[in-house]
Amino acid sequence: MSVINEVLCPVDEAKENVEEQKIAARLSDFEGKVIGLLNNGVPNSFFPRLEQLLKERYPSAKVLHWKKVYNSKPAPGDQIEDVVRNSDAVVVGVAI
Amino acid sequence: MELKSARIPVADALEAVELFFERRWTDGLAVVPPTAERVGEFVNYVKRDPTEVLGEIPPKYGKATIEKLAINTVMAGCLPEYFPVILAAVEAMLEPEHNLNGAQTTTHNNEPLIIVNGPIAKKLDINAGHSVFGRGYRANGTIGRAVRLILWNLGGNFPWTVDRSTYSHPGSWSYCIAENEDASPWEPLHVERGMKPGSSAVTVFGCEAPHSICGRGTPLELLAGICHSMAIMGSNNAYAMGQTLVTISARNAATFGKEGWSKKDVKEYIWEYARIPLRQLKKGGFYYHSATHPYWPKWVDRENDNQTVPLTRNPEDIHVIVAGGWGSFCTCHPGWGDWGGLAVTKEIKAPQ
Repeated sequence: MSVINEVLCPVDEAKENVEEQKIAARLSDFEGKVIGLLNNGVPNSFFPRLEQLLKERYPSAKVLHWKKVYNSKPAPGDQIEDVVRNSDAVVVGVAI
Repeated sequence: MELKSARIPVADALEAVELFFERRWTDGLAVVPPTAERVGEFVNYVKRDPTEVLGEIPPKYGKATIEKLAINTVMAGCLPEYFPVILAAVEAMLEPEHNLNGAQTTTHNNEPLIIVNGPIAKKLDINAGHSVFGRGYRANGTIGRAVRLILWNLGGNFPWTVDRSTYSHPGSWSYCIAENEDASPWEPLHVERGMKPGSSAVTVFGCEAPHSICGRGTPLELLAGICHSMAIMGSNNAYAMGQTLVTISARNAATFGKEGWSKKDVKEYIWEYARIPLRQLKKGGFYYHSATHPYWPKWVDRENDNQTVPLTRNPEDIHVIVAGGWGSFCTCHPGWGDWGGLAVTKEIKAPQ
């Protein structure tokens, strides 16, 4: 093997050291707000329980549901836009 | 040729090897240091522009340029002649039906199996016979590893972060075989899937590790064991359909050939007899998926507990290949179901 004094980077440099995305501003409270739930479609008790708790604690809040078309694939862009357009806050769950 | 990747100075080869461990740029084994000279040899071999992009590898979506693919192929210990096989495998995995994003991140334990067909398999000495899923062949070991390093470095599917595979399996290190075309009485897999006879191709299918199936005798005796081994509640196929794979050993393939069974006959038999009664499926497994999702064929009567459910929606989704040596065994490899990992075949474009 010849002398080695440098090697090439195997990863996509543009994807390294990328600043973490900032989280969106938090709501001060849920009163009268629309809470969107984006479910990945796997049957589980998480979202029903979450909705129950929201209704108990924030009776004036409205809860809207969306279900991903396919649980193993990212939600389509138009669905994400729909969720964002119609919600003040969103809970995204990946059930297994 | 101008290579654009960042260059990292090292004192010597051993320091380079350690650097890749430190930066988590390897799968857990030492790599061949990718020098510009060596990477250039690989790019020159395929006569392609190093900046050409085949796609982005999810879930990190690193750009799969010819240059980056060559770097990872060098690291795996490949020869330049192997590179066209790896490019075809990457093209296959990037097709939407393979759902690479899901395959890279699922809790299921499928890993991409690379099946090579055509004259290139012999030219590169890719093992198709005895111990076909085992060690001992540079081409099998390093082609499979190169694909995995590409998924690792460009896709970033690190365990505990976005790779949530519950177990994975040893094919996660390398999972590459050739079909044993010499021992097969049937058309090769790639020809069955639309490629020209005499061409070379790669088929990538996301599946579990090989499950050994003992048996010898008549075709019906062989198929009895195969069907019983496949029709299990632990298989995703039982609940989510998709595709599944069976390999027939050289010895057992000879039996089917002698008795005049076509590959279609074998697939249809498995589809008819590798079934599970609904009353069994309802006991657990992934029935909660089947109960609410329309994976099963419409003709499955969910009110009839005696109804038997096949593993796939049709016989064509049962992939049958000849692989392995002269022994009284076959293997089956459950897939991930409809969720992805579905088989994709691409021609290998080796330079003239």
